[in-house]
Amino acid sequence: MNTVSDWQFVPAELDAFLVDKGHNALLGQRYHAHDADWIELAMPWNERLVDDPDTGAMARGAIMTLLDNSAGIAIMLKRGGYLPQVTVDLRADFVRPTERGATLVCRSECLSIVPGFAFSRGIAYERDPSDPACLVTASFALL
Amino acid sequence: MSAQDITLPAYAGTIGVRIDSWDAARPILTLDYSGELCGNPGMFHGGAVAALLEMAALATIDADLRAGRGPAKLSPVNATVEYMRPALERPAYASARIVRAGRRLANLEATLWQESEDKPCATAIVNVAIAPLEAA
Repeated sequence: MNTVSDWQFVPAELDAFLVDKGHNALLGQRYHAHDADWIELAMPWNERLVDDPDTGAMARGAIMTLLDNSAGIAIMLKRGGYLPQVTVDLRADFVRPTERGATLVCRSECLSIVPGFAFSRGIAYERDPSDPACLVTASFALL
Repeated sequence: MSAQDITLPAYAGTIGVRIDSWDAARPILTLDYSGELCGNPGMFHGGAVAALLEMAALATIDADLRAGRGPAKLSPVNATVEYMRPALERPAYASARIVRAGRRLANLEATLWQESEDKPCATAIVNVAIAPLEAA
């Protein structure tokens, strides 16, 4: 396992990476909060992210990007650096439609790191983590 | 079935997913690479891959129901995506197979490929809840 012992997580650096370019920038995802064991990324509601204009619920495709990023960055935090990894498996449960106009937050934690692989899980919610809209379980290959 | 009978979700327009062609009654969806879909450098983001797989599954059960017992309200309950090889800077394609279509739940297997269908970049199991359309 690679670790960088003197690495420190700086939210502004993560935000700079997320807004810079690519799919994360298109979806407007950014850092929301973190603690020793978890990280939260946020995806503000935007008309372009909607699946069904009648309900205003966010598209599952956009949500899965948020889940993938959050689950993956939880592992980087635990590894201690932005080290290369790829998603092996991502399972998303869509518990209920998301609310029109509400920012969706995904809180993820890395549960385990073994040689070559790491595992995380998370929940996505608008206001209250006890009322999740989505659940995620993901595994990653560490490069 | 033909292309005009199903409508892709609004988000398909945001990322650029469209119907490429039909394989008998099954739609084949496609997504061109663009910088806005990039995850790791030179590759589609895993979330864009997941989105294309999910849309392929949804479009496939939608087309099947419209051709058979009639349109319904479709809500994916979950999706499990396996990433097998990177999806690189060229068009991606996805289609899905109905494993089982019950009265209230359909189970589908979706595959995403680039060079050829027998070299999948990713696959997904997508379970879709089926409910009657709400009265307009």
